Amino acid sequence: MKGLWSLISYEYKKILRKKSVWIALILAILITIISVPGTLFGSYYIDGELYESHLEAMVKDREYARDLSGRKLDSDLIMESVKAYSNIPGIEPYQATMEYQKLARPYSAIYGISRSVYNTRSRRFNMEDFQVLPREQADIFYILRHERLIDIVEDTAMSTKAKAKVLELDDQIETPITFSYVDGYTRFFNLAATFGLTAAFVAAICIAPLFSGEYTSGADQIILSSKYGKNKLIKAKLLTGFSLAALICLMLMLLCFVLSMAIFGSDGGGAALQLYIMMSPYPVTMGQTAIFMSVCTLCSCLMTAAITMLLSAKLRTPFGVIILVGILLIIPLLFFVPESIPFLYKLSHLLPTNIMTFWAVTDGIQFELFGLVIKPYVFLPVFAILVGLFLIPFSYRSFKNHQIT
Amino acid sequence: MELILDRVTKHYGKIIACDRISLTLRQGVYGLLGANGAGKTTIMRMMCGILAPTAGTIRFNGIDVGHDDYRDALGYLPQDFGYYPEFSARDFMLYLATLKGLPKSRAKEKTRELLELVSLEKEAKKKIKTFSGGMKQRLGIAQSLLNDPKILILDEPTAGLDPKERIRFRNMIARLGSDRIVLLSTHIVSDVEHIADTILVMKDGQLIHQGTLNHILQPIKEKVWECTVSQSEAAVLSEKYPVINLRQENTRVLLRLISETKPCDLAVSAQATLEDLYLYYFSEVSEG
Repeated sequence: MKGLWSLISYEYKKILRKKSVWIALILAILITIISVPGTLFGSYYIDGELYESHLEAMVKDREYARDLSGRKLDSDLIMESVKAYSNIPGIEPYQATMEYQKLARPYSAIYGISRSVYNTRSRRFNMEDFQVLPREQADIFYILRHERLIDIVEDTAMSTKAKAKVLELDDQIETPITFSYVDGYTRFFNLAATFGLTAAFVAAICIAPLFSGEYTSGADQIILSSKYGKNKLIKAKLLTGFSLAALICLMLMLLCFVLSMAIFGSDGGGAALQLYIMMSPYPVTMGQTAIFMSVCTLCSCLMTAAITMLLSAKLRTPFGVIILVGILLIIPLLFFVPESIPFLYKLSHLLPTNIMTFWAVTDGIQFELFGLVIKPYVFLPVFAILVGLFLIPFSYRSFKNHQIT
Repeated sequence: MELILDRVTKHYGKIIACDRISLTLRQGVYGLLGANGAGKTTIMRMMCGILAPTAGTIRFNGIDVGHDDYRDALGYLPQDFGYYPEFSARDFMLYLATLKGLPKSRAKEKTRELLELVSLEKEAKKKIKTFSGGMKQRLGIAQSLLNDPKILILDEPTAGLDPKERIRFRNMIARLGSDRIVLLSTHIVSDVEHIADTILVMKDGQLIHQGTLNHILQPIKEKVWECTVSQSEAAVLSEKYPVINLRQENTRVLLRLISETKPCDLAVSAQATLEDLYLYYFSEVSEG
């Protein structure tokens, strides 16, 4: 370890003394700060008239949801909501009616959750259907949910073993679910990909010159002819790259989490994930999901850092590295692979950008490898770390064997 | 103390940059001369372990060039030396001292001492990006001495220095050669002439001459002539003999040339210098 920490501190100095690095970091922080309350900008208009701002609506709906928090999401609560909704007259848009605002809106969260269970393949469950939902249907809410889940699982290309595993997981979900306000967490889930992508790209900007910057400046000659230039320095550079990527990711993640909780509310950490995605088969809480999202995002950033460092060791200029990493990060945003092409579908989930997304992390379709059935939120971070570790020796050797010609 | 190059060869496809160079260097100053593209920088890079030879071996006291211990004994000033513009001279020196494995206290002490040696002590805290070419070169020389190297390789060390500084560094390099191997390449022939114990001459990737100044000048000894002739005579002589120097003097021309025999009646024998030898060997390249 002699000299290693000192070399790491010099690598940090090289990076942090560049103006471009600080500009990128400040922009990343600003993007995160603006993204969190992004849905609160603007207002609702009914018939061209300003009704309420998005912020006012969020505060109001949060109060209504908090009033219901702690109650079991059972047939009684569903029927209470149905009763409230049945007061809405047949006027469009129904949100403009006093009955909706006064009587039904406090139950809008329950209506939203119910829809995903009562929707059928042939017909979309709407407000009018909810208004007349019979008690018998409310009584079999969880049975219907399970049946729908079976249909969804059967439609996938998963093996019988994987399908059984998913249904087994679903059986572990405690029903009836206890309702809670969870919007702080769901905002964090939705923004994970945004801050993750930002962190990965900013990290790429910062660490792209780690190796290639030495080639560009011509300092590689002095470095590689020094005692530690072909061993300890490379370790220091790799540790700097990984630690900086992790720090940037954790900083943006923490900022996003704290802002989400501060603005939208921190309730619901122990609530079931199904309050956000009713058809999710995972018996996990919102808090646990936040941890899975954070781990996946962090691992994806580390994987991106490993790719960036490999390119940096191979290419002659940092600019080329940034462009290639940028393309790698942007491509998944431009293409969507449908479930009907199972191999490509799962493969697309393994791209760094997708590893950070809520839909990939909590996807019901399992990864299957050597007869093992692995949950996405377990497989994705492990895969990212393995890819990162796999690339390290290539980066190491590439710089060590770099020839000054 | 022995640095042995054994049939060191470097190919770039069909181009041969260095052709089976065998050489044994012991303590002292070695001056490497050659035109651009002769292979000087290539051989130096291979001796520093930053360019792998296509064939051959390089060993210092039995230690292979690829080994950490070899690099521990090495100090190198590259021709185009890269630096970190945002670093101060002191930071840069301390960073390289860490890379060379110096303990912190020793690194600080060496940094102070060497910055003083190259007259940069007052600029120690200034960013390198504010430095002139000569100041950067002095910093480059200082960093090459950080680990008190047993092998010191200097590629164009006096480039960019003003005449006074050049002489000072030339003398410093001569002193350094007393207890280590110093190999320097330069286009400034007089520098080599003054400080090198042994002169190495490279041409087209081959080592064509090596030895002391007297030994190396043997091929042109008593063959250097000077004469002042008319324009037309100068043209005739230039066609016939390798011309080392040509200077216009009113209507006539002063020629310095190499010839086995007296080239014309007015010619007088002149003392052969290393510059004569250099220009004699590399006149084709220079003209090209």
